Amino acid sequence: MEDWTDKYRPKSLDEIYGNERAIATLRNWARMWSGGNVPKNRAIILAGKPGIGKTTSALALANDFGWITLELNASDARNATTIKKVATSGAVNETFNDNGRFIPSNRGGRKLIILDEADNLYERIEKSDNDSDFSDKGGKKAIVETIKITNQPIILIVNDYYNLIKGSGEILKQICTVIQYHDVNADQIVELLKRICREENIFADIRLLKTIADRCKGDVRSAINDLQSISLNRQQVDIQALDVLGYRDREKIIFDALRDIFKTRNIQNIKDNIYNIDVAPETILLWITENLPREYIDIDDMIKGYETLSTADLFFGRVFKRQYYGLWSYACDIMYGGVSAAKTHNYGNVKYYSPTWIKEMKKSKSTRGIRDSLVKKIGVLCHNSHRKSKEFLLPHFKYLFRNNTRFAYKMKNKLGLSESEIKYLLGEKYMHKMKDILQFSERTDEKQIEIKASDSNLNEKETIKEEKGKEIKQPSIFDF
Amino acid sequence: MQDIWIEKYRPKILDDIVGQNNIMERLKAYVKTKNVPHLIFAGPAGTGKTTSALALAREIFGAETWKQNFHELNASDERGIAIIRGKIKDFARTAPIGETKIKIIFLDEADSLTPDAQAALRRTIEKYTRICRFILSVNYSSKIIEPIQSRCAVFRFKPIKEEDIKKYIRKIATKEKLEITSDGLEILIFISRGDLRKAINTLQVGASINKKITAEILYETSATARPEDVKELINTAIGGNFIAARNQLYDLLIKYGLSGEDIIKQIHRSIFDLTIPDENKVQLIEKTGEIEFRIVEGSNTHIQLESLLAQFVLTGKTLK
Repeated sequence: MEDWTDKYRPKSLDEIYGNERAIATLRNWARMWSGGNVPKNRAIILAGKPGIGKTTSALALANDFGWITLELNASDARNATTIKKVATSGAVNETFNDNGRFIPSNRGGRKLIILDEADNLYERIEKSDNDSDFSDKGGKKAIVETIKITNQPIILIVNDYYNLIKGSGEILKQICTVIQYHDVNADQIVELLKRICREENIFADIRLLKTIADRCKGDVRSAINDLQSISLNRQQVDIQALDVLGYRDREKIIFDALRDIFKTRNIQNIKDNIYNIDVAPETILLWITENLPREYIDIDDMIKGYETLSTADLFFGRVFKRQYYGLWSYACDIMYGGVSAAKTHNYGNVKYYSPTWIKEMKKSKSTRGIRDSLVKKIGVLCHNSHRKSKEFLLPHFKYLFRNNTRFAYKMKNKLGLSESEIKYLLGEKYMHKMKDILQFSERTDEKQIEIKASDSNLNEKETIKEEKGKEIKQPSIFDF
Repeated sequence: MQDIWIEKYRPKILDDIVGQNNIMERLKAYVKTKNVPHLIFAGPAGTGKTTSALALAREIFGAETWKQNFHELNASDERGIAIIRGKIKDFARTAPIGETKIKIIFLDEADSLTPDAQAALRRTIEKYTRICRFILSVNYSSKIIEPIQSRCAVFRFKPIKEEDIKKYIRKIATKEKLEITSDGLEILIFISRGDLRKAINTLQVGASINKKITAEILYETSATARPEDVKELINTAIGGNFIAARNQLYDLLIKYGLSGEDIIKQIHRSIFDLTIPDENKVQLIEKTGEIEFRIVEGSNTHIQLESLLAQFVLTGKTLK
C-alpha cells in the first residue's frame, strides 16, 4: 500500500498548503540563481517543526526549476569529513543530470544540495569533537566552509534553528537567509484532507476531518497519516473511527490524571487509569510537582506530598543512573499513590498549570547556551573549572564588562566573543553600550598604539631591573 | 583595566608566589634537578595551587617548550573514567618535547574524580611514571584514594596571611594607580579570608567604579556583582509564600545556572543566620543533608530542592 504522505506530496511549490510567504521568499531566492548567477546568500535555512512542508518545499523547488538534488540527512553523514567530501565536491563541481548529460551551471543546470536534519547533524559532530578548548568547530566549520565556496544552491533544513546557529555556528546567520515555517492552519488542512478523500473515493464525515485537523496542531504529515490509518479499507468513515487513534491531546489526559490523583483516594483505580495513558511517568512527575502546592493548600499535606515526590524522584534517579528499569514501577506507585494518600482534606476546584519548569527551560534555552559557552571561555582563560567560572568569575566578569568599555573591547577580541555573548553580558540595562564596544576599535586605533607604546616602556624598565637580579629569565609578572 | 587581573597579576615564577614560602623552597629544589615526583597540592581556593603548578612547569621546561610538555585538565569539567582512559593516557604516553625527560599533567579539582576514575588514574600514573608526572590539585587530600596519595608528595597550601595579601594588593594598586584607604584594605582582607583570587577580583570590580578604593565602594560593588542570594529565597519560603519561593529557585537554577549542589551548600550555610530557635535549625540542617544526598541520587534536582523549601515554609508557619 502506498504511503499517502508520499503519494500526495506536492510536486510543485504551487501545490503546497500553507506558508505562502515562506514559499514566495524561497522562490525569489531560486530565481536569483538563474542565468549562471550566484546570489549573495548561497544557502537558505528552512526552520520549523516537523510535518509542515520544509523538505517538500525543497524538493518541489528543485522540480519547478529543473534542478537535480543531492540529499544528505543525519543518517547518511555523521562527521565533518563526510559532509565536506560529499557537499563540497557537489557544491563546487558542475552538474550531470540524471541521464548523464552534462549541464553547465551557466545554462541553468543547477544541483540543489539539501542538508536535511541539519540541527541533528551538528549535535553528533559536536559530541565527537571535544578536543579543542574553546569550541567544537569541526562540523560547523564543514558546513560554513561549504556554504562559502559553493557554486550550487544549498538548503539547510532544521527543526531547531537555535541548535544550528549556537556557538560558532552563529556565522550562519550572516551567510544564510532564514525562512521560518509556521503551522499550517486547520482550515487548509481540512481542504487538503477533503481533496485526498475525493481522490481515494472515501466518504468522510466533515466533523471527523475537522477533528483530525485540529488535533494535529498544524502538522500536515501527521494529519494525512491519521486519515490514512483510520480509513484503510473503508469507503466510509465517521467520527467514531477516531477512537482507535492514539490521542494526541496530551494536556487533557494529563489534567484528568491530575484530578484522579489529587481528588480521589483509590490507589488501585488511579494506577489503572494512569498506566493506560500514553505519557511518560517522568513527565507526569513534573506535572504533579507543578500543581501539588496549588491543590494541597494545607501545608502539612503539601509537605507530605513533596516528601513522596522526592522519594519517587530518588527512584527515577536510580532507574536512569543504573539503567535498572525494574525500579520504575516503584517510582510510579510512590508518585501516584503517595501524593494521593497525602491529603487530609477535600479541596475545591483549582486551575491546573503546565510545568513552569519546562516552560522556563524552553524559554531560556538560547540564553543558557550562550552562558555556557562564555563560562567555558572564561574558564580556559583563568585556569578554572566551568563550575567555578560560572559561580565566581562570570558575575565579576559581567560587572567589569558593563562598566569598562576598554575591558569589554579587549575581552571581545581575546575571547572571540560573539554578538550574542556580548548581548548576554550587557543585559538589557546596558545594551546601549553595545555600539561603543563594537565601534571601539575604529575610534581608538591611535589611542591603542599610544597605550602599547607606554606599556612596552614600562615592561622594558622592569625587565632590565629583573635581569640584574635574577639568573633564570622569565617574563616579569606584570607582563601580559 | 583591560585585563582580568587575576590573570594579569598571576605570578609567573615561583619566587613571586606569596604566602607559601616553605613550599616554594621545595619546589625550587625540584627545578634545580629538572625533575619532580608526583605531587598533590592540597588547600583552599585562591592559595596558589594552580599558579604554583604553572610556574613550576615554566621553570622546569623553560619558556619555549613548557606549553607542549605541560597539560592542564580540569577534573570537574570532565569527570568520570573517560577522561583518564582518553585524554590523560594519550598525553601521558607521548614522548616529552625538547631536552626534558619528563612531562607534567596538571589535574585541577582532582577531588571531583569518582573513586573508579581514581583507580584508573592510579594505573596510569604507575604505567607512565618514567616520562610523565602528575600534579593533582585538591581542596582536601583525604578525597584522593590512599594508593595515589602514597605515590605522591603532598603539599598543603595554607590560607594566605593578612600581611601577604596586603602586600600583594598594594603592589597591584601601585601598578594600577589606585588609592586604597586603610578601611578599604581591611574590608578586602575580611571578604577574601585568605583567598587571594577573591581579594583581587573584588579589588578589580571596585576599581571599575572608582580609582579610590574605600570600604564603602567595596561593599557596594561586591554585593551587586554577585548573583541573587540564596538568603532571599529562604526568607520568601519562611514568610510562607511557597510559589514565589519556587519561582526564585527556578531563577537561580535556570537563569543564573547555579547547580543544585551549590545552592544547597549555600542554604546550609545560611540556616545559621536565621532568627529561629536552635532546635529548628538542627531540624532544617538534617533535612538539608538528606536532600543533598537525594540530589546526588535522584533525577530532578529542582524537585528535591522544592521539597526542602516546603520544609522551610512549615518552619516559618510553626513559628508564627
